[in-house]
Amino acid sequence: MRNLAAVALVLAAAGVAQAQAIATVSGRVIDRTTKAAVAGAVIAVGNELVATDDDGAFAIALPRGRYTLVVSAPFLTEHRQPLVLAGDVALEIEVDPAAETGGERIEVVDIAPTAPGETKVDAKTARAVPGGGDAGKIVQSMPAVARPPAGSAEIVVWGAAPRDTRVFVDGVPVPALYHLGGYRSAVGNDLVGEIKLTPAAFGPDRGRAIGGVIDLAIDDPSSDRIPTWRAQADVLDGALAGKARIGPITIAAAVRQSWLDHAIGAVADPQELAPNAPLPRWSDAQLVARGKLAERVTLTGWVLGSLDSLERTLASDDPATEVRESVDQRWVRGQLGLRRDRSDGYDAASVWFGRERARDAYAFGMTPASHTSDAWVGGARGVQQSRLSDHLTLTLGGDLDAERAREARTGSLTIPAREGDLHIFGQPPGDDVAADRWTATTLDLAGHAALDVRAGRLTATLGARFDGWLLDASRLTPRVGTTPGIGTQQILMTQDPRGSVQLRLTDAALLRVDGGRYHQARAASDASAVFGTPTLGLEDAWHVTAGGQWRRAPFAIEAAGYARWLDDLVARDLAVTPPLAQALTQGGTGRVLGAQITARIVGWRGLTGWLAYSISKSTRKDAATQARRLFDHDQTHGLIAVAGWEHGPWTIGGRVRVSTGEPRTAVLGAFFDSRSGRFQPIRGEHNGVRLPTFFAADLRGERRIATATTRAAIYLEVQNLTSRANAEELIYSADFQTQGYLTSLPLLAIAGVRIER
Amino acid sequence: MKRALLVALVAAGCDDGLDQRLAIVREPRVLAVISEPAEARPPQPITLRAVIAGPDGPVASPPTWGFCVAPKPPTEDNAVSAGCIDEALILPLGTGSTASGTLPGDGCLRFGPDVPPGMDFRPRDPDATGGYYQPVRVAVDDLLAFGLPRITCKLGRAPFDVALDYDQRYVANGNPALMPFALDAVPANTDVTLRAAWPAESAESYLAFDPISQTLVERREAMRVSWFATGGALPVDATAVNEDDATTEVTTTWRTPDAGPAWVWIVLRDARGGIAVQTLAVSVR
Repeated sequence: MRNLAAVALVLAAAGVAQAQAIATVSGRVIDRTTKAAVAGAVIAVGNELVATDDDGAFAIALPRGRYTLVVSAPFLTEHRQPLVLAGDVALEIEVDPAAETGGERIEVVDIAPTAPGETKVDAKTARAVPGGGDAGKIVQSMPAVARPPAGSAEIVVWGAAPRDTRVFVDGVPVPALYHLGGYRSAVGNDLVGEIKLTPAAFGPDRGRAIGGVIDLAIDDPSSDRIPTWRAQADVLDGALAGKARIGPITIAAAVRQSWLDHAIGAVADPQELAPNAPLPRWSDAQLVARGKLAERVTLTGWVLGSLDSLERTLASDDPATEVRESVDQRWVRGQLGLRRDRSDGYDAASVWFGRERARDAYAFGMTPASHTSDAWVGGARGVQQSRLSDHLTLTLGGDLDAERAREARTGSLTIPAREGDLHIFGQPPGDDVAADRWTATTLDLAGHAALDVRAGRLTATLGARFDGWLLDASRLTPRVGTTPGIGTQQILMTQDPRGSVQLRLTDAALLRVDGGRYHQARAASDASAVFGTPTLGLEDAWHVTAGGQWRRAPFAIEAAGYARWLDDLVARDLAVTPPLAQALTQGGTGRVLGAQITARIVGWRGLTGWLAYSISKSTRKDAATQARRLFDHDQTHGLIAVAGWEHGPWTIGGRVRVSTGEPRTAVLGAFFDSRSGRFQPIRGEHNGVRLPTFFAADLRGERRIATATTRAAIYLEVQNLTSRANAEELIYSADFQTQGYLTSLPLLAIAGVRIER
Repeated sequence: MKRALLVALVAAGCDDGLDQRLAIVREPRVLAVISEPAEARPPQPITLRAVIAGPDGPVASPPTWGFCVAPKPPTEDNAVSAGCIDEALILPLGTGSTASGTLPGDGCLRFGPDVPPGMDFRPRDPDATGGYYQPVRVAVDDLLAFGLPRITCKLGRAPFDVALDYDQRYVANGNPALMPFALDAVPANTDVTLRAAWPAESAESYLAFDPISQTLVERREAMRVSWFATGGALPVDATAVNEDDATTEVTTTWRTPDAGPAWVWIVLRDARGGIAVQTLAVSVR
């Protein structure tokens, strides 16, 4: 709104501005309580935008006239005052620190990222963009995120494997951002506040990821952004949300239930309509409570839950190739957090817990496979930030993450497929079967520190993260009879330097370099003595990003280059005869190089959006002796344009995506397997060919209708407007003599209604 | 409109031009490679026979035979190693309508659960019935096929008493048998019932090691019948009978082609790799 008002004023005055004399408004911004200079505050007058220097000073030259002066910053309560500029004027502006909302806020106000490649979006903007009106879906449309395959819930950020990117809600790790099938986000929609993606080189306060970090903030339930109640329904699902105030505490709750499968089933047999399209069931619920214990002390508690299930049969004319799949996944997270704000910083502490249960059962022809996992997770976090002087800010913190997982698995080693597997879509996995039960513990206790140093136009953050890891697996060798298992424990220490240097060239332009080292533990599911390796340790990565930004409200342009070196990656042991209990190795390495340019606009005549182009190459080696190959989700070129335009009762959103097709392994021929009675492929070079280029344009329109007591909206979203049949997979005839494509949805239309008060 | 909307919602589609069916034989193709006996302990002798079909009936070209000695990595989805595709890792068995040879003595080491003495390697995983298989390469004209006779090996990484019990009580698989089915002359473009029946003892019971309970369990072979014809139409490629189903007969409907000679093949497979084939010359009038 601030930008809108400023833009409107400028436009109104534009006709006379050129004929008028110039005057200068200068001054100093100080803290109302401490009288200390406030550096880094943004001053907006007319169409001019400057930031205060280390002494809180600023100066702007403007045509004479009437204006509104706005002072804002993530750490300030926005200050506005009228300004009549008849001649040069000097001001001393007193401002107040921002009223904190508790929890781990994502500090998002400005339009440009603070780190190369970083993207921050508020939930309202996110819902306006095509994605089913679900705030979390915006992540798939962010710059730096590869175009996801249809029906996929995975996120590939700057060439990193999906498992390498971690999703946090208010600082608490959650197992997945999306429900099965990727139709909806698993953390709900109504209570989500802001969403931030840091694709690489994130700070020392986040650990256990070697890709990127996605942060979602639970919104302040007392804010106007969360209505008293809201009901929403479309062809995918229905949702209810509401809030109430009990004394000093505001409680908000939301629940969502899918009915996509019922909607399809009401009119036709899904197996006949779309044998390859998963129709999962999902539901999620959120409960959040927040209240002030004292003037600057906020207590926040929340619980999130997600349920997913999928039952499907890919029927075949031959029982040997029929596939049955049954998936049941559920998780819950809860957090209790306390935050105290001080005049020179803040203290925050939280504890969290959770449980994850997953049961996947498959039958490929007559070969069964299953995987069940039951994990208890929990942790704690503490952060203290203090402004030591006008030039120094120190952030100290510690966190604990713990997981105890009980796993059971039967079937082929290649179910589920891993990144790097030589897999041909549609081919059943090998019919060799094994079985194992095991438990694995992962515990990470970490401390981190960051010192922000500001000296003139130069700002530097010097940080480090120190982790102590305990990795435990219940059996070092496969189970034989009733002989007791001998487990394995590892204690590992890592030191990860992380930091950034930023040079402000002008008020509108800056250069910045970020870098750091990162570690993550092996997955509990890889600690099997039969299907994996119990002694797996930590995967390692170095990140470097470098970029420049230019911004003049409401526009910003950013160019970023990035590099990621991955080491000790968990990969298959490709030996014909691997050692016992070492089906996986840590001999994998990877390299990601790329560049990205992004142009953004925020709030210009109601228009918010971005246009981003990226070029990258992501490669892997599963062993030192292997040739480098393309990463399974490598996308050389990616272009995305996203826009949301709000005008009166209308909101129109659009999205255009163009991307290089993912690599695949070609089939050169086939042989007949007499035992199964089916043909099997003779494969070409690993990831030696690519799917065709992807293109899709999507549009979303919403019309709001206000009555005396409620606000209603109807919306229609059409995805893939051109009905282009994008290739999602290479598929083959039964004898592999003919090749074709599994194509994505030709057109997806979602209509719905929302009512709120 | 509502239906159209929902159809659009989920209509992920395949390329319609891809034929996922194998039932109608439109070009020469290997239908089965039969080993006699169906299962043997290395280095016992076996005899192999290929059933090769073409659009005009059985193909008489003699295949070239050989044992593959390239073990399959545990990460391989295919039934045999990529090393078996070329001839470099093949022990030749000659060329002829049948081939006889002695199973390589180290079969259980290359393809089974045995590991070299003193070496702590990962034993190979068996199939769902507990079996291991010796690949046999069959090349005829430009066709490539693999037969997989089952080899009897000791149990890998099982308790000693269980392994001993298995060794003493396990009975090697035998090929199933198909009851004779006659189909001499049929009318053109009509529905004809094809029948595959087998003696109850063809679906054998066998011992298998359950790695979860670490005990031996008694199981019964599942059966699967594949249907082939040189013309007309068949509704399915194959029909299965699960191991808990005592059925000994299955049928399907063949829509006969236009008048002329036709051929039908019925291939019965048991879960342990045993195969029986019946070839029918049919006069369609």
